[in-house]
Amino acid sequence: MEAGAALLVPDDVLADILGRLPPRALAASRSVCKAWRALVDARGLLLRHLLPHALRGILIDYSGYKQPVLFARRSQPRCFPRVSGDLGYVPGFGPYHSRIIDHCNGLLLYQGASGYYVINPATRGWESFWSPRVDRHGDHAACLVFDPAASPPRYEVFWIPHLPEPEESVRPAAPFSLGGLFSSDDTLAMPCKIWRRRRKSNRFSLKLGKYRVIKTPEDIEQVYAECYLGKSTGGVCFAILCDHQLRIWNLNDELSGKAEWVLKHRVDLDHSALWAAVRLSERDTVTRGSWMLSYSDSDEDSGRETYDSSGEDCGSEIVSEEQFQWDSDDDCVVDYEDDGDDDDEDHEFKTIFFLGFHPYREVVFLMVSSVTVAYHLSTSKFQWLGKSLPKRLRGQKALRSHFHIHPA
Amino acid sequence: MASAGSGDEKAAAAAMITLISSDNEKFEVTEATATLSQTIRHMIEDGCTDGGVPLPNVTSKILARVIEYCKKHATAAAGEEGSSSSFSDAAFLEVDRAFLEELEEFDDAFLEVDRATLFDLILAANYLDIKGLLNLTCQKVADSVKGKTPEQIREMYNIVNDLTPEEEAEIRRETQWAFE
Repeated sequence: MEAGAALLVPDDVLADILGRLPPRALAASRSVCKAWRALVDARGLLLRHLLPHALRGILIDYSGYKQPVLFARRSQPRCFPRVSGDLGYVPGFGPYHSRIIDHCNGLLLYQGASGYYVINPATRGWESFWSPRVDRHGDHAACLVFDPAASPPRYEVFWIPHLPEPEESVRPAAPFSLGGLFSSDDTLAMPCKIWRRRRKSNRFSLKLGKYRVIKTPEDIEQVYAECYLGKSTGGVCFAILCDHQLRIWNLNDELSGKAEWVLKHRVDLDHSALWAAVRLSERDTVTRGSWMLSYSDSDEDSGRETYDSSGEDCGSEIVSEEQFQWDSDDDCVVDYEDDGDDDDEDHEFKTIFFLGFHPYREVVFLMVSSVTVAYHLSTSKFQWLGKSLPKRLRGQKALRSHFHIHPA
Repeated sequence: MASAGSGDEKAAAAAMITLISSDNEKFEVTEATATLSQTIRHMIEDGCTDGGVPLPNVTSKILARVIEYCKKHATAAAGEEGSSSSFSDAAFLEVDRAFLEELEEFDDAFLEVDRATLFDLILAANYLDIKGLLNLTCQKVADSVKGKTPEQIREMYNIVNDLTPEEEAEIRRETQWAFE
């Protein structure tokens, strides 16, 4: 091997070169010299690789249902770690006075009667902390930031008071060291959704300048719509679902440093294939989708606690794990043929919920009626996954949800 | 150079551009070849190529190689366009594949250079904004780094390790998974 030609190229070119490396080599290249480390960090080259590469299922928290339920692929052997919606191991967990208020990369932020808890549903580990704000939870949003790539993984919890200027109000409230890929506050009442990122990851010290405020692509106060901030193949994504019209933006700032939303997809969900999927699953004879709800042992759908709710206060997330894969694109793809006898008339009254982005594929999860459907953005294919609403709750409207990702 | 000559191509071939290297050597190339460089394409569009295009950042040795690359790729592009009308689809695909294979072989052979030349080619491709060449050369460097330890990379590229032991330990902590 010949020695020693110096690699003297402009930063853009070096970033291009290093950006071609697989994650392990890229991570190793950070310890070549200061300049390389600074470049990899400043361009966020490594962050792109830190998406999960497995999807365990969707954890859905229905209002009116006593605990979250896992909606995942059926016919999988019991795998480890077993993820369940049963959070009974957290002290003070109860069906009605507690709620999951945020999640990030596999951890849940849960608000109980006596404080906040950060929970890892995969390990059943939890930590609690008390905040003076816990008694005043109407005046702020809490959110969780978790960075599974740091060693050891770190998380951070923020309280964001409901103030007109969210820029000034982001303040770290708990003495946890940095997490920080992204997170979202959860209220539509604020003019901005807040997206945070590690700006300089050289040091993991806690600095206020680490995060910045990025406006949503549209003023979400102006539209009555369901909004969702998440992360998928294209990086940070933002979805607005309004009147059966789904629009998806990607945040484009890796290289330019200037955050900019780019409209990537515009989908009319008043699509016959979607309704065909819903009709298919509503027939009683077809009850098995490829995914199913898994209740915890004590929680068969015979619950005495019927709770008549039309509220929509839920969190849900997708928990990922190696073997419990969504392992086929072709399960239950809806082959729709226009047979001319559509009974379309009630479609417009059906609410479509946006469950979240697939963490590493161009797929979004939608829930219509009691059914969860995967929509492939690149091929416009609808894939019927199965019924995801507990029987108790059928006919009720009760959902809001996000992805959740299993920590590495 | 153009074997699958159509009328358009001959017209394009007629328009010649003169490129002048840093050591003042002149190269005559067709416009089709020269416009693989976005930088030169813009100059042509702005009409400022009369009397030659001086390229003070590129030596004659490197410019000759760059032109070799551009000629080959311009020919391939022209060949594809020219053939699309006169072949059936199946035949066209066949020709297409042959072109691609030939081009790949050319690219592989083209990259058989020492590192200093490789970096000069990268700089030239970057300056002249030739996407394909930049892509090719950057990938070559990336492949050379892949699977190497930081120490090996430093040695290969004469990089001085200016990280303190503490900083190195911190990097390891941050991304422990990469070092296992």
